[in-house]
Amino acid sequence: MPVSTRFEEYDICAAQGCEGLNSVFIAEQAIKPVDEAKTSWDISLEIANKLEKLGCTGLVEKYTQGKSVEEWMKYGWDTQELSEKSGMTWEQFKKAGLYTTPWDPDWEQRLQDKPGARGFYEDLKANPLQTPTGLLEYESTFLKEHFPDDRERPPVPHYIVGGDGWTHDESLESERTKKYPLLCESNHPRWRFHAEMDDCSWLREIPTCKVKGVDGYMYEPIWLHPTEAAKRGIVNGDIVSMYNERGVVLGGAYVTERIRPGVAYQSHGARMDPISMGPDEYIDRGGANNLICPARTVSQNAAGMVCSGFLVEVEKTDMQALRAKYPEAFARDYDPGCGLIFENWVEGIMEK
Amino acid sequence: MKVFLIDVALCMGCYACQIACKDEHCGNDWMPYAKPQPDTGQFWGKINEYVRGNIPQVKMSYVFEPCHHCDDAPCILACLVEGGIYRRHDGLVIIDPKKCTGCKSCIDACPYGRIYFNEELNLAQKCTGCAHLLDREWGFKEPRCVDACAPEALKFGEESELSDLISQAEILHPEYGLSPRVYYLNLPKKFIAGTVYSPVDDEVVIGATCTLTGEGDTFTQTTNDWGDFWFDGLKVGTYSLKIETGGKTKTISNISTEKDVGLGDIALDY
Repeated sequence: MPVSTRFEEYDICAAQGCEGLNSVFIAEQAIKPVDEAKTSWDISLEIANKLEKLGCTGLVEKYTQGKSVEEWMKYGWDTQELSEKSGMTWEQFKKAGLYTTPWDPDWEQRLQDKPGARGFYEDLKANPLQTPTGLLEYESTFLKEHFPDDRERPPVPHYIVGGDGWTHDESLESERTKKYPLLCESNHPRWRFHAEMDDCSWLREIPTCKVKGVDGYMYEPIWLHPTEAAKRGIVNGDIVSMYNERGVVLGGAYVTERIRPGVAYQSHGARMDPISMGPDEYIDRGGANNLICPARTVSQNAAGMVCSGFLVEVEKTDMQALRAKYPEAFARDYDPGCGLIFENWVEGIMEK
Repeated sequence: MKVFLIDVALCMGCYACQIACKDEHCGNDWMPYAKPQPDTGQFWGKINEYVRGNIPQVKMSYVFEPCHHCDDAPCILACLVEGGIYRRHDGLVIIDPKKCTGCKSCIDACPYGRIYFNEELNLAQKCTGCAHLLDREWGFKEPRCVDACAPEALKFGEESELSDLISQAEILHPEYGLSPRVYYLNLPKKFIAGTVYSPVDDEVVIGATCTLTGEGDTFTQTTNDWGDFWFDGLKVGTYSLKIETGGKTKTISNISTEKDVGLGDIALDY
C-alpha cells in the first residue's frame, strides 16, 4: 500500500531556520489520495487495528492517545504556545492558514554576531568547542577513554592497510590484489539520488548515466583507465563483470582518462536486476554493487557501512554462457527507458 | 534577429538544458512549429562531451549544441517542398511539420547533424528555438534550455544587444560557411600541462620557470605549489617546452597538440 504524498493530505507544517521568516502553516489537501494511497497516520492506525485483533490490546489507544489528526495538529499549535504568540485562536489560524513569526527584535545586533568558528579563533578559552577539551582534537579524548584498544578506529585517525586478523582486507596493498587487483570506488551517483530516478529515460540517455550494451540493455557504467581496459581486452561499451568472492555485478565499460589506473569506478544505487541470487552464484545485471561490498561494519565499534571502496576484478562478460545458464532471468520483460519492470516482480497486481 | 550565445567556460555539464528541452518538447505538440519529440533518441539541444588530456592532467568540456539556425541554412535549400523549411522574421529556422513529407533530404544536407527523424510521425524534427514560447504574450520569452541554465552559460537574445560578446565569440565549423546563429565563447582549445618534480629531493619543484614556444607564440608560467604548470588555449601544432630552475634546465621538444597533452610527472635532474 503506497503512502500518500503531502499533496494528498491535510496537515500542519512549519518552516524553520529561516531567521526572521519562520512560519507555521496549514497545508491544504490539494488532491484526493491516488488509488489506494493512505497517509502514514492511517496506515499505522490500520496496522494497529489488525494487531489488536491478533491480541495486542490497547494498541490503537496507545497510538492515537484518543486524538484525531486535527486534534494532534492543534496539540502542536498549543504546545508551542502559538495562540499567545500569534494572537490567533486555533480556529482563526485554520482560517488564516499562515502565521509568520515576527523578526528578531535584536536583528541588527545579530548582524554583528561572529560567524562560524571566528570566536574560537580569536579566544579559544572564552569560546571553547564542544569537544571534551574544548579544543580541536587530533587525538580524540572520547575515543581514547571509551575505545582505547580499537585499532581500526584509533583515537588518532590514520591510514590502515588491514589484512588477516583485521575486520577488513580491501586495500591495494593487500595479498588479495593477486586475485582482485582493482579498487572499486563507488560514490553517490551523479544522475540520480541513490536508487531514486534510476528509472528516468531522459537521464539514462546521458553518456555517463548508462552504457547501452550490444544487447540493448542499459548497463551501469564501470569506469576503467585505458591501460587497465587494454590488459583485459576490454573496449569502451563492452558488457563487463565486476566481481570478487562475494559476487558479480555487470556493467558497461566506460574507458576513459577520467579515472586512475588501478581503479574501477561504478556509482552505487543502480537498481538490482538479479540473474542469480545463490546459492552457488550471486550475479546482478543491474549493477547494484552494494551486493559485493564488505558485509562487516567499519570496525567492531563503528557501525558504518563499507561500500565506497573494496577490491574487485573486472573482465569481459561471456553473455552467451550466462544466457544459456540462466534463461529465465533473460526471459523477463525489459524497458531500456526505466530498467526494471514492476510486473516482473510483483504478483497479484489488480487490473485497472 | 535572435542569436544563441553559449559560454563553454561557464558550463559545468549539469545537462539541465538537454533535459529541459525534452520536458518542453517530448509529448507536447507545439504546432505550427513542432510535433512532439519522441521520449528518447532525439536531442534537439544536445550536450557534447569532450574528455581532454590524459591522467593526471584531464579536463572535461561540455559544448551545448542546439540547431544552428544558419543564415545560409542548407536544409532550407535541400527541402523538396515549397516552404517546407522556412526562416522566421527573427531568424529561427523551422521545419513545417504540416508540409514535411519525411524525405530526409534536410537530414542529409545538415553538416552539423542537428536534424532527427521521427519514424512514427514520418517527420524530420529539430530545435525550433522554442518559437512557441517566443510568440507568447506573457511569461518568459526565451528557449527552455536557456531558462534552465543555472550558471547562465546559455544566453539568447537580439543580435544587436549581444554584439559586444558576439565580437569575441566563435562559431562551430566556420569551414562550413553557413553563417550560423549560435555563437560560442571559450570553446576548448588545446592544452599542455604537467607536474615538475625532483627525484633527488623526492618533492615537487615550486616556482620553476616554464617557457612554451610554438606556432609563433611564446608563453611563460612558473610552477605552482603543487609543481604544476598548465598552458591552455593553445593552437593545434607543435610546441617546445623549456623548464628552468636554479641553473637546471630541461627541454621537451616536438610536443604535438593534435590532442590535449598531459605530460604527467616530469623529473628535473639536480
